[in-house]
Amino acid sequence: MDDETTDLQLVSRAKAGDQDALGKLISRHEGVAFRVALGILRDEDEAADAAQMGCIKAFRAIEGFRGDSGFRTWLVTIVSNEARGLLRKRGRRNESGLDTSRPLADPSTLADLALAEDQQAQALRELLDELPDKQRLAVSLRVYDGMSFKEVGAVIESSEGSARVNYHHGIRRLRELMSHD
Amino acid sequence: MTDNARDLIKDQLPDLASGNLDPVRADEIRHAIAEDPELRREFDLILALHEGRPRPPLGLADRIRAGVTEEAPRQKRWIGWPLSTAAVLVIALGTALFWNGEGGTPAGVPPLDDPEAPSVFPADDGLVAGALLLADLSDEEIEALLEEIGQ
Repeated sequence: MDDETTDLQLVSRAKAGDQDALGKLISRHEGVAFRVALGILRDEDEAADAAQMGCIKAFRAIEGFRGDSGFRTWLVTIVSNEARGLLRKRGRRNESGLDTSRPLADPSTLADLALAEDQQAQALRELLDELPDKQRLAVSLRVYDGMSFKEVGAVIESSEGSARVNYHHGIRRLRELMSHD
Repeated sequence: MTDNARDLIKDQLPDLASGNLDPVRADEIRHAIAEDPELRREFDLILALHEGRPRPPLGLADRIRAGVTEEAPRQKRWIGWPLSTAAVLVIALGTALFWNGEGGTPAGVPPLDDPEAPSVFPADDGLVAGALLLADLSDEEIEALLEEIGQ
């Protein structure tokens, strides 16, 4: 974060009608909102929709944020509820919406090097996608956005201890999948 | 290194990858990684995952901001119901003040059973027996009325 203003300070200003503070909060948390939704929905378009709808609901109701939990935890709980609602509506549980068709890259050029790195990242995400839901979410939330195990537990609806166990099982499983590739 | 110490380091590898550790702790973990190939492999995986994390689509923040801002006018309108309730009370108060004659008849208005009495039904002037019709008032007019009586 290049701005040292805390979430609580921005929330306080946003509640007072400071649109700039509201904008900063949105910019600061759009990424984690998208990734939380993606972890649940596994489709980038649907994740963007769920993140958008969830964030709009949360920021409209910002007066109701009392600071009992961290702002990010509060926000991603709302976004994850939105994503789960969308999942129930669509009636899908284990489909992957990730596009796996990519052109082959020649790593000898800079542009292709970037593409090769992108493909490696994509390959890792596809392996992550093979994990059971709670392990996948625990790993992605912890690794992508540095969420604490307590925050992870709030999203995957389990205890902090269970979130930690799911994370480590997920990492171990990923390493097994990588060694088979 | 004890098992507990090693477990704690594994817990904190994502924090090292994202740069969220204090410098002293970060150095301790880097040192541990340098001496432990298994920790090194796990950190490499976590670092690759972190650096390749999905990015939100362009324009998502703008769409969220637009959606939040769009809601603002609707939030203003929701105060219409208590405003309308207050307006009804004002009308009731106005009516009570109007009815100050004996026998429950308004001052200056002949009894209803008087066949010669002029009609009290509304004309096109928007008034009923001198009182304003609620339905003809805009939210702004009601608000101004309430301000006038100190609500």
